[in-house]
Amino acid sequence: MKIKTNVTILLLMSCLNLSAQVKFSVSGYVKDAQTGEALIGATIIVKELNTGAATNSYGYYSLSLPKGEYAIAAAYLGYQTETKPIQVVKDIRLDLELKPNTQEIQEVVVSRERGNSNVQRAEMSLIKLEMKNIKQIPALMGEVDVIKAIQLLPGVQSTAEGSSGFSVRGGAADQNLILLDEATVYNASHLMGFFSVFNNDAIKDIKLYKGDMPASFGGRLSSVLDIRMKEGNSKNFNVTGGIGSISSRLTIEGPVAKDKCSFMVAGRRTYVDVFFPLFNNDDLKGSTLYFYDLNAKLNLTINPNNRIFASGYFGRDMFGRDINGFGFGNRTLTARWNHIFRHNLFMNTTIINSNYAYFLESNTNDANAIRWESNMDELNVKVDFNYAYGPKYQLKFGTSSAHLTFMPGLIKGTSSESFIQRWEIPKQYALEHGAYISNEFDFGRLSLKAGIRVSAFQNMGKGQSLVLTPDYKVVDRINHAKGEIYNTYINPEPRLGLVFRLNDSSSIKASYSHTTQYIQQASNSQGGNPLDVWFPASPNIKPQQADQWAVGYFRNFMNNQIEASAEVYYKNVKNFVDFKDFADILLNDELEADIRQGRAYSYGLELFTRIGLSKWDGWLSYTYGRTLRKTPGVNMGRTYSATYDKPHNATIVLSYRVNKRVTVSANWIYSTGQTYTQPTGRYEIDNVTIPIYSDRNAKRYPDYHRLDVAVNIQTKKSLSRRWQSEWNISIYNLYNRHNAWAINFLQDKDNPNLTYAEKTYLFPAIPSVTYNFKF
Amino acid sequence: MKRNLLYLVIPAVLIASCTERMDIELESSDTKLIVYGSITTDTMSHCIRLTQSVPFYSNTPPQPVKNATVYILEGNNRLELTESVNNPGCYYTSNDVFGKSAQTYELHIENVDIGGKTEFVAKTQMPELIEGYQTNYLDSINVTFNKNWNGWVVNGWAKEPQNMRNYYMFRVKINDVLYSDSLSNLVLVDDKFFNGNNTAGAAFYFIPERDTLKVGYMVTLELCAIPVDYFLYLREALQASRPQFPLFSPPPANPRSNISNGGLGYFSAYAIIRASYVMKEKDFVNVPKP
Repeated sequence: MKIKTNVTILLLMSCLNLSAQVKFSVSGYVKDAQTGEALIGATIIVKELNTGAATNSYGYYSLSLPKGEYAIAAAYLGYQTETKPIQVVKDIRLDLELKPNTQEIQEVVVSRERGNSNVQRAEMSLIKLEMKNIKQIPALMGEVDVIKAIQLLPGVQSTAEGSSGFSVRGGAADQNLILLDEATVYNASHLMGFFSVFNNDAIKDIKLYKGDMPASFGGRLSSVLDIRMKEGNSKNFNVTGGIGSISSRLTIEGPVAKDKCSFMVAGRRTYVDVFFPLFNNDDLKGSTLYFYDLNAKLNLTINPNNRIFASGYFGRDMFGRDINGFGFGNRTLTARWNHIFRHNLFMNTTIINSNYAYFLESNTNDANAIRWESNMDELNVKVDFNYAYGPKYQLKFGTSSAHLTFMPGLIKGTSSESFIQRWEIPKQYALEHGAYISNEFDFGRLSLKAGIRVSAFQNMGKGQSLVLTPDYKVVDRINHAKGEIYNTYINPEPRLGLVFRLNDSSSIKASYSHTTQYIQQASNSQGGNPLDVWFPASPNIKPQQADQWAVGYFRNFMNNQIEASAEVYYKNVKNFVDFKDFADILLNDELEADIRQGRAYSYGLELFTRIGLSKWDGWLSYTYGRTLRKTPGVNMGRTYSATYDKPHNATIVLSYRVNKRVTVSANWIYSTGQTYTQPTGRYEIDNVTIPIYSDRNAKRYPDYHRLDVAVNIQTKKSLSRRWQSEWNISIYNLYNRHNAWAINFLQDKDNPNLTYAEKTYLFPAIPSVTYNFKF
Repeated sequence: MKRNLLYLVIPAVLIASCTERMDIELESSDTKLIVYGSITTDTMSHCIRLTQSVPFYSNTPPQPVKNATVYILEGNNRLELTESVNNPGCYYTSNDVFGKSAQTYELHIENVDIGGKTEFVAKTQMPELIEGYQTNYLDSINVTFNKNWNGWVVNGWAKEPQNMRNYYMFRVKINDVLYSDSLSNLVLVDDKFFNGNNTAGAAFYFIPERDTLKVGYMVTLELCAIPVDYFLYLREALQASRPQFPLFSPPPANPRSNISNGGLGYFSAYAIIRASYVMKEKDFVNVPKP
């Protein structure tokens, strides 16, 4: 890896020699002409030089061009391409506004401008999803969900049916960096994972990096899910909402000062518990169960060179039964300042606070009254720069520093008689730093992207570290004073990518990335649950490190309306965090003694075809992938399959626009059954049957498949009224396949010597209706 | 306590789920010797039960291991165990045996043939007991009806010894008959949350059936101070016996064992401390009519 690091540094240094020519900058924002929302990833093309750039996450682009006359074209999927002739004799500020393709236009225009940047750019293993498409995907109980859409992509698996946890190219669920407006979301699930925390109406843009990780991202091994909230319509007031089978949503957005300042507020709440009496289940009597979300964003354009944003998310799940309560939720706060310096230098400074907390309580008002709390908090400051110093060069660099607080568990008595007064796992503090630089080099048909990130992690007092023997016995505890740095890890993380363009519509790409992960989740169950706590690397827990190689062939057909790709990948994880058998992961002040570190590796082939025809939208994908682990002390040290090691995986996600008002969509999912551990024998201890298990995850569930369908009907538009509405009718699991969620081996109640296998399945065919409106 | 609160989280999943039987072929593992028994501080005839494992789908119960030579070494003292005539596979000490504080006990099983193995050994140590432990740990108990939990709660007044990490198993007898007749209704408690605290009426045991108790019935709580390894064994065995669900269940695994030569089960030594309560008329005032 050292050689790779050196090569990367050399490449980065060589770029400094390239900026001798006299050049001028052309830069600006690309926005939606109707709403004023910045467009992320819009393509800017300078036809004369056969070069271009893409707008960054704030919709800003910048090019450095030699003196001359050029036609600058801006293109974005679903928008009309805008071309402006310019004469470059000095630095030029060129903000562009693109008009959305209205449906009437789509009727007559045969092809939509899609661009071929997916083929041409030196980036791979990246998927961008459009909210418009996600909204058409049939969803469980009509709750359209970003994470459930992502689970339909090649190389991505849900960790268990119905779960919001996902595995990217065999990675564990905690190896995904989930960002909402740059703030880490530590638990993206609601209601035990059946729904995610992302309210569609508040979201503008989604990108999933499955590999080939940009150097600006770090801290997780497997993927980055970068979700950006809407900025709020800066031209008109808008209200968007929906009434669904289990929840309702409302979003209000509009200008505070036209084109200068806008806001967006979105809320969502479920009402599942309203239907509890219908279930006629004693356990549910007197129970409460709901979740809510609140997203808010304010943005202000101070002048053409300065913009500030403030955004936040707040969500909670609440469960209650009699005198007991359980709640959990995330909070994220982001404040950003975009500043444009002279000469194509764009800066973004961000201050972020992320928090995930839960509690369980028993309000008995006697000796048993207790409250159990856990909390994870992050305060992060980041500065990122984009510097365009030549027609084909984009230099990116930046730093970040985060302060992390882990409160894994606190139990306190809530009545004067409580038999537990106060018990706490000592809090842990840590600092996580990153600095990166990356650049793209263009050599005609070959482009190279090279970057390096240096990450550092420091355990900081006040805290306690455990001294473990080689056989994981705790022999001592060392107390560290407040502010004392008692352990430091530093890791260089080289990232390389290249594209060789065969022609305008096809290319071969390759990438390598090294990633390091310093914090992880103590999750021992397959699907994960809200009680899983995060814990840091430490003198005992080495940072997890991954190397990923990928090679792919990319080809577009039919004037870029069909994008096809084939990628193969291999990922090797060192110091993979695993857990010994029967690890105690909750309220364990000696958690590190239950952890074993080993090796995890995965490899696979992903075939992906994305369709964007005038009437058809969607994708087809097939993945062959394996995910294996080998950890000393787990499964007797033998290699075993992860539960989501499902070699064959295929999805078809399609929607067809029947006419201006009606769209029909369907998705079909197939995968090899998940792995599980079978009993081979049994015995009895004190009248209880105990199974004897063979190798871990040596057998498989039956294959999984499911078809979901939906129809979306827009009501007739009247020109005089702003009110627009639509009905969405969907059926989840149309052919009522009883896919196994769990398989258990049980005893007959009447004859304990009669044993049988029983499957638990979650969702039969489930119809739902949602009404969405906008005015 | 941790478990009680965790049950809160489950109904959301269970309301949505359905089950059906399925045919799955299973492989069979080798036959294993299963040992379960203990030496306690009670002076009595202690039992060690020897059985053999069976294939999971077998229609027969685990078979007793007969005619074995079984003895326990208590230091230099050899305690012979004899097989019960009426209850094959159960080997008993003489009725004057009792466990002593911090004493090591070594169980030997010989003259058996299970998977080609003929001799098995297990070693355990009685926890260190404080002077006068019979009355020091547990002061008294009472039994009250808890409307929220819809069942009877055995509340304890106790003084947890300080400066010692203790592990407890709670059992209940009703009129001297063991109510906690299975591994699944034992209560296992680690004192880390309340080490050295006085507990004034904390819930030690829960009896869910409201008709189990009547006026005049005697409820006895047995507080057993058990070795840490046995505590972990019981917790693992319980976990292994429970059904698996993706949200909460760790990967299935075989519980630890202190039996040599691939034997399974556990041989332990522990102390029993008791307190009793006789149900009174007033205890039934709050019980709702069925």
